[in-house]
Amino acid sequence: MWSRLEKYLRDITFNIRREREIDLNRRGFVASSLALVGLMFVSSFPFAARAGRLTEEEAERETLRIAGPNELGVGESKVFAYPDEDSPALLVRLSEKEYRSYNIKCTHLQCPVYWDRGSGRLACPCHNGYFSVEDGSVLAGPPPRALPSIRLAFRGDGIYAVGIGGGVIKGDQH
Amino acid sequence: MRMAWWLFIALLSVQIILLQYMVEHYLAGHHEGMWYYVAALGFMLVVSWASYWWFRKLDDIRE
Repeated sequence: MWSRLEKYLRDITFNIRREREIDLNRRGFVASSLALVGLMFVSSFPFAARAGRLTEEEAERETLRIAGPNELGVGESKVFAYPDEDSPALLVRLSEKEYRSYNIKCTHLQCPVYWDRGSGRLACPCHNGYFSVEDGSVLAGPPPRALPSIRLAFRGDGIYAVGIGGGVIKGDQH
Repeated sequence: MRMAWWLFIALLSVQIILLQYMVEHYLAGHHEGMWYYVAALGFMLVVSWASYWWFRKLDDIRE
């Protein structure tokens, strides 16, 4: 009984020919690596599917009317809250046809950023952080990331916030 | 197969890094770029499979 068990254990432990051991081990490693590469590929599907669903939900999010068609003059700004009341945002009119909108919680310590018309930048008063009004990127100071931009839509009765974007979103009125 | 061994270590490393980046992007809420990562991971799988096939063929010829 004991010897049979020992033989069985020996068989499953040394199941390869001694002279081919290294070669077979390499081949086994390569085959397992290929399987692992495939497994990693398959494991990325749930992330992509869930991300796709979240993007759809984001697209269906309620739109908010921010201002009338000519409510803001060139160089003026308006504060609003989007997508919820705890997320303050700012709409800036840069020229006759250009608008920009950002979430104004500073990416450093969440202080509200304001539109500094004189310098043409978005400024954080707490620690002198400055953001570009063109794309929300950091120009100076301690903020680690750009301000999140807000997607705008121009309709007959005004300007609407329709979503939060990751990159630069140019609000050009047509 | 000795060369394949090294190549597959490199391919595995790239795959792990891609997957890690993908998870980081997902957790950061950047959902728009996920399909690019899936495509990149799929491309790496194709490259790995082609390398595996090639090395196996090479091995068979040698034998």
